[in-house]
Amino acid sequence: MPAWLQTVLTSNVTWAVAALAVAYLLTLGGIPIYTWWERRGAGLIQRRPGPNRRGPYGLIQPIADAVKLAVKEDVVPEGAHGLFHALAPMLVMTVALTTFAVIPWSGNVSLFGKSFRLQVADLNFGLIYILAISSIGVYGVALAGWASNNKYSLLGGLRSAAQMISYEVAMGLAVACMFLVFQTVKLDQMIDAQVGPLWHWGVFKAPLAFLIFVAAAYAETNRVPFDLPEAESEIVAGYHTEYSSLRFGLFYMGEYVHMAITAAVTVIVFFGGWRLPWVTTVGRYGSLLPWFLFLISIVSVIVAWDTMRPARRAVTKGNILFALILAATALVSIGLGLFLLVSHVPPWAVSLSAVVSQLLVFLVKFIVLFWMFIWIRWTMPRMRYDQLMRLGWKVLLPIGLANLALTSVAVLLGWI
Amino acid sequence: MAVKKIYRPPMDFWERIFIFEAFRGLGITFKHLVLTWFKPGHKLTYEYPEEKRPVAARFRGRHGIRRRPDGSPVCVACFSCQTACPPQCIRIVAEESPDPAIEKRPRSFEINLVRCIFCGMCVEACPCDAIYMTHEYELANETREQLKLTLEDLLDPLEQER
Repeated sequence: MPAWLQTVLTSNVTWAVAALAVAYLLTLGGIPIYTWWERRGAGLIQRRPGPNRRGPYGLIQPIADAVKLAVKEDVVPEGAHGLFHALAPMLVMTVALTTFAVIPWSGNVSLFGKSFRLQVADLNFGLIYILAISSIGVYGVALAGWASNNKYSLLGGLRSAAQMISYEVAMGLAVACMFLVFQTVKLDQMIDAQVGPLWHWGVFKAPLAFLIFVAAAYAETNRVPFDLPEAESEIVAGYHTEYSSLRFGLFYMGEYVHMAITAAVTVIVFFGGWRLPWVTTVGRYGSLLPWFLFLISIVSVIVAWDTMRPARRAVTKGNILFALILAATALVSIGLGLFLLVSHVPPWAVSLSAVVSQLLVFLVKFIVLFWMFIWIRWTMPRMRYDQLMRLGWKVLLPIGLANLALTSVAVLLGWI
Repeated sequence: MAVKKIYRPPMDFWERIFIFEAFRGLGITFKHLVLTWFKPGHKLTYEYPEEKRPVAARFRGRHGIRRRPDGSPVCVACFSCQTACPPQCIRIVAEESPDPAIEKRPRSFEINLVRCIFCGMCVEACPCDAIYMTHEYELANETREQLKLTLEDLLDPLEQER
């Protein structure tokens, strides 16, 4: 192996950039996929196809939407506070993006005697950082409501502020419970604490804390069933009534990024992060990569076949291109997988494949958790405001406190 | 004003703690998702331009005029439809028929679809069952002139053209 490649691979910058790339792929790069996914999921749940016209499976649709948003007129209402009106969407988006810094995408691997991890910033107060930063998002929402000079916006902003503050308590209790269980606040150490069999995952150690956390997280992200701040049947569009063009786009994207961060944190705290149950060593993760690649190629072939299947519409050039890309992916994955299986793999390559397969495991769990957001959105009706407050203060808070007390006793007695 | 009492069954314990019912709801939506994706008849919508919604047998679309076995229109230019038409969108010009058994035939038969209300009165009025409503409903056009249908537009296609 050439020396320059070794220098590149063992540079902290390379790993930070790689972690950043993953974070950006899942946030800004993922938003088109998320919106498409949300709309397709909604359509299928409501017994209709959803956007399926532009591109294979309608995958070009979100790009068209983005172009539409970008070229629309940016209206600032009369009497709005110009600075705060402009600041609010930026705040929401920035805050949502910033939280991704501390997510560990893979475990520690040793490369030429040094240890690396796909993580942008290894802060020693990891999860608390995420809680702290994402609470700033409520300022964006409240500010948007106040600065718009619109009573519906103001109502939405107030609701959002009240809701986020109420549910932060429950969320804090659930997270504190997990701190007790794992004896750490660092995200990578939490994942390490979930090593071993399946029942070492946080969700099996503290199921009640999981339910409280998920309910509070849905409230924090303003998603159904807690999307009162933007309840369209009551207050038009809530805090973003007076936003158009890309400013509205920032709110919209901020919501999806917030969902993504919540899904990532849930994966890490409750579902073992990048860990597979029973798989412990880095070498085992490395040897799993060929099989993951074979799985990827099988899925690509199935999807490519489905793309080329003439359904109601004729197969377009886009479909053919998409199928060719998928076929190429399948071929490359099979080739790479076979190569990794049969050839003698040096230890540095084992480390790198371990990182990739850990990332893939993380992504699969992330996709499942993100799908839960969409699935629940199109299943649950919206709560009334008093129901929301009752659930937050009279149900989740007492249960959370009791759960915290019980968990601390259990941890003291060594049951968990 | 009488008060109408709606009976709402009280929730039992398991329904009140919500969480299991929530998962049941998730199961229902997931069932619909899978069925919509895999089972052809489950979808409730039509992907319109490619997939046309079936119309009822009595659906009133654009008009058509039937032909005799020799290809000439069944219409005898009796003006019954023109008289019956509420928005007066039918205009017939009659001429003598070369066939001695038939008195008249239309020289021109014009229906102005801009005015037509698709009420079907012309079909009711026709003594010869010559005019009828087809199931064709894609009638958009670019000018008003193009929406004035002539006899050629209205006549059924000939056997050899079908």
